[in-house]
Amino acid sequence: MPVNTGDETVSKQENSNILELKGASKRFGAVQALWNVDFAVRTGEVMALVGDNGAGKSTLIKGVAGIYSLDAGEVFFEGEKVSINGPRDAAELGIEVVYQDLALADNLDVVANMFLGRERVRTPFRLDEASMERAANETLASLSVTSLRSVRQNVAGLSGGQRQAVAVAKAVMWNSRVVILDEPTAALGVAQTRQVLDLVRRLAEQGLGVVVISHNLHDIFEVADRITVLRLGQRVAEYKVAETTQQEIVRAITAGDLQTVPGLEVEV
Amino acid sequence: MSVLARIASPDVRDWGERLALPFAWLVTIVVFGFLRPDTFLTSDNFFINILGTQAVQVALALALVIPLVAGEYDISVAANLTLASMIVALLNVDHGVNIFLAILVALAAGAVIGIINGGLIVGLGINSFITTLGTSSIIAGVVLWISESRTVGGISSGLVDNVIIGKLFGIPYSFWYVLALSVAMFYVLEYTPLGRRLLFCGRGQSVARLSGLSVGRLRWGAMVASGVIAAAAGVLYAGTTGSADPASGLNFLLPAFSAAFLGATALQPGRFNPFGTIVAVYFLATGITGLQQLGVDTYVQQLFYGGALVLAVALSQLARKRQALDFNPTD
Ligand SMILES: Nc1ncnc2c1ncn2[C@@H]1O[C@H](COP(=O)(O)OP(=O)(O)O)[C@@H](O)[C@H]1O
Ligand SMILES: [Mg+2]
Repeated sequence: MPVNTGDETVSKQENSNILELKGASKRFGAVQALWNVDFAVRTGEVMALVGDNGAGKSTLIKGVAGIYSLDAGEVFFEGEKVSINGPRDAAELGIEVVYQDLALADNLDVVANMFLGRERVRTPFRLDEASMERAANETLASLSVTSLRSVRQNVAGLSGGQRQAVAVAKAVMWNSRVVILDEPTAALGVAQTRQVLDLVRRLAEQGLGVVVISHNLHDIFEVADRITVLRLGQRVAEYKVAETTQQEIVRAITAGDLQTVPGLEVEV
Repeated sequence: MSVLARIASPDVRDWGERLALPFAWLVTIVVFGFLRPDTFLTSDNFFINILGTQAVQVALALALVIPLVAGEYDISVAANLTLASMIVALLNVDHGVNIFLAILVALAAGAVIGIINGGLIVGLGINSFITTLGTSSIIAGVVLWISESRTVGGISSGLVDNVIIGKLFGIPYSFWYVLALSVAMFYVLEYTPLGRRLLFCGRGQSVARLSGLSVGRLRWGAMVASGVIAAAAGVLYAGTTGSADPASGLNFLLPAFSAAFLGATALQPGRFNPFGTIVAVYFLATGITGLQQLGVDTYVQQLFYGGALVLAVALSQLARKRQALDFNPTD
């Protein structure tokens, strides 16, 4: 279970990696989706994960979340080696993922979605709807999400920005330590993107480790502290946002140095 | 929250839509009661013939609701019903087995069928429609085999008395059994984590899986539940007719689907739900009985049930635009 660290501990750990991945590899048939990738995020920072379509970004986070089992690689949480064999293990550690397109079920209401798989009960045979509704409202309020008409409306009726806000709220209501967002702004307009980016920034300020996958470098430069670049399943570079430029990132995405020549990878 | 408040969940404004089917049922009753006052509204006809006898049909439709909620088809329910009634008859009549024990064996057979169906669907990843179409035919074959294609009559009056002869408020017990079953199903689907998760299985299977739900176990469990309930429907059938035959039970399949889909347009529109299903069964049965009493040929039965199925699916397709039934069995 995630430990609720006091402020003091958090600040001590400010610069330590809360989540770290070493030598992650994953192969799908003929496709080496990940190859020997190192990746880390610290508490209180936003780490961006960028790369072309098919670079392996989603595979990486699904590996972390236990959706895919990695062929090779180790995961460390707060410096300790952990084995994550499913979404439940990840959740136990306090790692939550907001998946691209698949964060919420359309035809169920906001409360049901936020508590999916972790419903509150009064007895094992009785959902505690009132308590869930209250907690959903509180979490949304704590994230300054105020535009929802009701947490009892179906997700299908929400705007793209509201959906993303609900998905983020779903991820942070469990004492989460690390929140990973896959393309959270991909389908959003300017104003809504703005809101989601603010939300992402706020999570980091609250001391969480945040990973954001995005195609939009402009967004990333606005919200991230560091950037990891994936290309063809390999990590080709890592930058501090303050010390790099969009041009440099674009170069890394399209032509960053690979450890091995694609097609000649060592069999795992 | 009370049941009524729950049915009237705040998101839905359209009471007209919710109550259209119950209202249609009422209208049917009134119209036929008016046209055939001497026969239609008699307690023999309405309470026993419609409410009592059709309880078998209700039970079978309810058996379908659970896999449908979880996003799966179970075509094998009618064959399962036939097998259960035949097991009860053969054990009780031919082998002199205690009726209670015979019923338990029949229910166990239903559970085994559910386990096999679920195993094929979840374990091997075969589409549920195809799987249960296949097992359905196998079961029907087994029934012909074990019964030597006979009709077996003379089932213990203990069963018959407790199904169709015994009455509460003038309505046979069988009606109250299926009513109790539907209340239990409603409770589980609406008020328990299990029901909530089944709903996610059917409506957002990928979301559910990514959230760490054991989607496979839930779908499997849904198939087992439908197997057991279908077998219970078979027991009711044996108790209603006092006999078992290897074929007639199969006729319950299409009406069961019609009722389940039509029921999904009522009370909780866009959702397969037990009470809507009951109303749908009785609406269809009332309509058909009434038409038959007007002297209409028996083929209307098929027209009626088939038409209802197509109409219900069309209606829910329309409802999907707003509320989305989101039934996606291929997912
Ligand atoms: N479940 C899967 N089965 C087979 N190949 C996959 C699967 N998931 C991803 N891939 C492949 O792995 C590569 C990386 O995909 P992905 O991680 O989704 O990239 P990104 O998210 O960076 O666009 C792609 O070539 C993709 O086709
Ligand atoms: Mg992706």
